[in-house]
Amino acid sequence: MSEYLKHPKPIWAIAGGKGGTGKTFLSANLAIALSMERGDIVAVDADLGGPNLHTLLGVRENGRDLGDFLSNRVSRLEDIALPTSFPGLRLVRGSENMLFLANLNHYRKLKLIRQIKSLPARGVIIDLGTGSAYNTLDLFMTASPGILVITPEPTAIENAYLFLKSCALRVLKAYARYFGISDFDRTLSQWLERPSATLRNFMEILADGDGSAGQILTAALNNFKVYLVVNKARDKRDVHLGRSIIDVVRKYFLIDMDLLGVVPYDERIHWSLKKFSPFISEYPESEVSRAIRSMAERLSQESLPVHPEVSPSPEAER
Amino acid sequence: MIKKIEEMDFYDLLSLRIDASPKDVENAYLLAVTTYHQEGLASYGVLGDDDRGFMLDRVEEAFETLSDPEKKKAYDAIVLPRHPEFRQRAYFRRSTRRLEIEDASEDKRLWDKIRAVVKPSWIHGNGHGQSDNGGGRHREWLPEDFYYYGEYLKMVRQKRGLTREQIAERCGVSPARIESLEEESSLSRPHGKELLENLKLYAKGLGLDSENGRDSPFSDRIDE
Repeated sequence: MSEYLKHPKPIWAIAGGKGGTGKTFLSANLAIALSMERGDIVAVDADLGGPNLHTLLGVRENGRDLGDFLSNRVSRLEDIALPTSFPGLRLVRGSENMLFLANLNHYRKLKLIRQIKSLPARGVIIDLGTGSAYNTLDLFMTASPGILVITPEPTAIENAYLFLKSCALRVLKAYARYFGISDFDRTLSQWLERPSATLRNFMEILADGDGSAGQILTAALNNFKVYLVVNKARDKRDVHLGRSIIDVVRKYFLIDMDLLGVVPYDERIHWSLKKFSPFISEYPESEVSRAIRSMAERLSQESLPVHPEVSPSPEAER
Repeated sequence: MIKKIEEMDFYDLLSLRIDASPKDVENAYLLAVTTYHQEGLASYGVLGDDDRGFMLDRVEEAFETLSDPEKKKAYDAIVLPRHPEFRQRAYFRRSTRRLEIEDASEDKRLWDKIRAVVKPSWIHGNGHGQSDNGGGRHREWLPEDFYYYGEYLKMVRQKRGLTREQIAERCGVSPARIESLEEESSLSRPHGKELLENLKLYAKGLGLDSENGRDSPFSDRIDE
């Protein structure tokens, strides 16, 4: 067994229910900040429908990508984790050529998840696509923890809740199947017929019927850890909004959510994109960059320590 | 076992710890009103108007009770002994029938709060900032990270009759920075190591280190 497998690494997956919340922006800049904080990070562009993490990382030349791995042209994910211009950061580039990638079959998805888990690195950051497709949910739940990005707008918040609800149901279904909770499907069908009912209502109904099933499934949700990032915050009300959302999620979704950080709105992000230059390296002293570094520091400290036996791969040292 | 929302006690309802200060109660109340207000974005798409109205009524009732010392005392006598946090952490001292936290000195609690909000991981970790009360209970003292430390530093400064300018001169941090630390503004305050450095200087300026008879919990982090 390799040292990397003996000492598992943190996997952070970044999602957002709606497009335009800044998932890829955060993934790129957080990956750079984490590589500076921790070293030997691999960023995986798993936005299977529209990958552009490479653009935000300033990687312009073409190379091997996720399509090569998923279509078996390359056997190991590690072999397509290519160096970037940032020391200690490698990139698994998303494929722009395979439209069917957005609908990965079960086998390919498991292969991808397994290889992400065994990547030789000190941390992996996954940039996910928009929406609540099963592939996106499963990759999000591979992470520890997942990071959900919202902007302070009703559409983004509504879709974020939908995303969390989809994740929660996926977790619950898996546990119900494993523990043989027979009432689950019937209760779920009844609950889905009441559009205004919250996930908490569902758990209450389930617990009323079978107390032990309620306990098992509540524990399953409580173990599902998610971080929230409020992006494009313009004032203190947007900071409070993040706290309010966390309160709602804890109460009505029973998910253990915490605020990872708030990224202020900055017009210059637009200009850094146009220059193909990551914001954090273009404006390192900006409030945005400070907020991202602060998040990276926290994620790194809260995750598994870098084991001294695990040396960076030669690729990462370049 | 999962509780119904209508069965939650006021502490759970406002996401407060049982040792919440009056200021904590007020902050939690304001946040809850924002959350469940008819125009509030946070509950949009999750709760209907009736549910929001119900929550607002309960939040008002909770605030009226917890912000009134007499009502709070009567309420605590009924609710706290049943509260899981109360039972697990054994704050209640049987011999005196008092809550242990009532005996703790204000400044000592202040340090624990600062530790908990600035670096929650210290409380659990490798000896840095280990709580005297043990068990890592302060990790969840406050519901949100980076939220209340400024308020407590401000409280100590005001207790000592110092203006922002006076403390700024004493600790070598600009008055504007002092203000952003006290306001806990995530948009203007420093982050990461710089935040710790500033807090360390501010706390030293207030003389908290010597009063507590131990090194600043920030020092070992800053020097890394």
